[in-house]
Amino acid sequence: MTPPRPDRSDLTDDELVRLVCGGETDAFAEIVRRTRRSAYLLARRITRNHEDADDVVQDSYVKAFRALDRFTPGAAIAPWLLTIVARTALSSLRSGKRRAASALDDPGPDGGAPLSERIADPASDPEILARRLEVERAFARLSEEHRVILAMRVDGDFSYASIAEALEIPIGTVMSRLARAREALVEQMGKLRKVVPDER
Amino acid sequence: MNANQPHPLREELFAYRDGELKPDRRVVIEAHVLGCHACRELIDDVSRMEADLGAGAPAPKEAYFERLSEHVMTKVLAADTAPGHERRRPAAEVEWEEKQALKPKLPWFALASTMSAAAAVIVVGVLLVREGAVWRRPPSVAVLERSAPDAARSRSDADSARRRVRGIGGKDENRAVSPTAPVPLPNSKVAVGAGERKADVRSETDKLKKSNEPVASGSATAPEGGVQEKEEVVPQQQAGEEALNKESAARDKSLSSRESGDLAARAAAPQASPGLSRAENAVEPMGAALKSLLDRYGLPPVWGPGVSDDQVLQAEPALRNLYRVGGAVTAPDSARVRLYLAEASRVRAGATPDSAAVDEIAHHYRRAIRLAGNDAEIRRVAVERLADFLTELGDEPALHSPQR
Repeated sequence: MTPPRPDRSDLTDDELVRLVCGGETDAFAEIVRRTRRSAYLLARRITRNHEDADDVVQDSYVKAFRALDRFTPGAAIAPWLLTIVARTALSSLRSGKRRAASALDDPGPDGGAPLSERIADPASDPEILARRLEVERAFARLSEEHRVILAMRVDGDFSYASIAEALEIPIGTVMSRLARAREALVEQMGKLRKVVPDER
Repeated sequence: MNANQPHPLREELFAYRDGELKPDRRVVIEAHVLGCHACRELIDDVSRMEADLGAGAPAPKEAYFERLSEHVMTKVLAADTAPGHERRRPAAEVEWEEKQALKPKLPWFALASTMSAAAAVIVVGVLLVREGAVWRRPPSVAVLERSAPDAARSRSDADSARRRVRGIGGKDENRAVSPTAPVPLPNSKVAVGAGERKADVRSETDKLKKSNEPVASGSATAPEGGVQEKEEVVPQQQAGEEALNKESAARDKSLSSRESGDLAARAAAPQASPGLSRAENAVEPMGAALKSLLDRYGLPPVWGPGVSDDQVLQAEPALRNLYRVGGAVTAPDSARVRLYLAEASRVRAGATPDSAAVDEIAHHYRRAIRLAGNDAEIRRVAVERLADFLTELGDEPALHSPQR
């Protein structure tokens, strides 16, 4: 009796957007499915905790839905959506209502394994796991400004132009800020190695 | 430029690594990097760190993302928005504005003088009450008469919702009715006793069941439940209630027929205009657009217990869209859509609807009842479902905050 949800996985982003704008709201579910992982990862990296990231992602999708008619035809939906996510996450950070950052040992988003276990591929080398934990710790020590721009570049795979648009800063500032963020990350890694050499 | 020349700026070095340099600069930086071990090492270090950072991202399990999708879609549907539009205003708000627009507008000084007169009446009323004067009719009756039964019902809902928010429900909240107190208004929880939520729900439910009967017999019947609930009220109050209920029922009937006629006329359907008489028992056939939509989702013409929650939720966006673009061409069609929308809202709200959801659901049902016209089946189902909804609310101990 219940009609199956149409399979729209073969439609292009443009076609999905046209369907949604034409009133087929449930086509938006396919857009969500395509982008939800990167959206969450970016939000999580910026907000540094699961609950805020969850809020940010949900709010971002509602905003995206409302603004879908302004999406440029022919463009990929993911960068456009991730820009909304980044802006929403920044607003969340600046609203002062954010929750405390998750520690590496906190339980995972669905009550599962803590981050330290989650990021470890069981098949991977213990040395790689140690290095991943180390870089996570170094990242957590960066300033908010540096974390945001690195997250956009690393997790969101934003181009410099997209970062400039999302953060409303010139491309030159993107270049210099990103360079400083990377230098800061290298510096923090160096400090961590000096303090806890045995962890490597 | 070679390895012996000064290192390029870090910005340029990283931009080279990111593929963001213009071709002419890329050639220059590349020439340096190829001959400079330190710059190559820095680029390699950063690349490795970022790879580790990306690989170490705390990705939840797939089940979380499925839930996330569901929540997002629920929010998108609940937001009742369309791309390119701000949030749609609730239908009740739109209706109220439409009614206001039809009313002749008074100049500001007329409003000011009206308000002054009302204030004076209230002051005099308070003084008389303090002196023990017996009221035959309370000053607020005039307000009730003007605002019609819908306003009384919405006040009733609002009171009920407020009490639920506060968690009030104990007998200690009941206000004693003194012989000198104003005559309680029908459906007015403040006058009858603010704590009797369940009794109020039963009262409304009984009235709904009454209203399900043919209009000819229902219009002359006083709301029995309301009187039964107020057995302890003084006879004088009962008389006032009955009189008011008769007036309300008569007004309800005329308003109902007027609204149905207005909506049908707006839809430009080939049918009688509001001023013309229509066959008393004629049931208008369902419009082609709605029929096609319901068929597509495997839904019957009127919601019934055989309809699954999934079906309702899947059809909801299309039904909303149809309603928005005027595809429900007759009043009974609008009632059918309202009934389905009420059910969809109910499914989404779950067992613990917040006050906004309660208002929305009850509003859909009431509009369905009103718009059903001569279609006895739609009216019956809408009345029963509203009664069922109100009964469920009455059994619910406290209001829960809205879900995220």
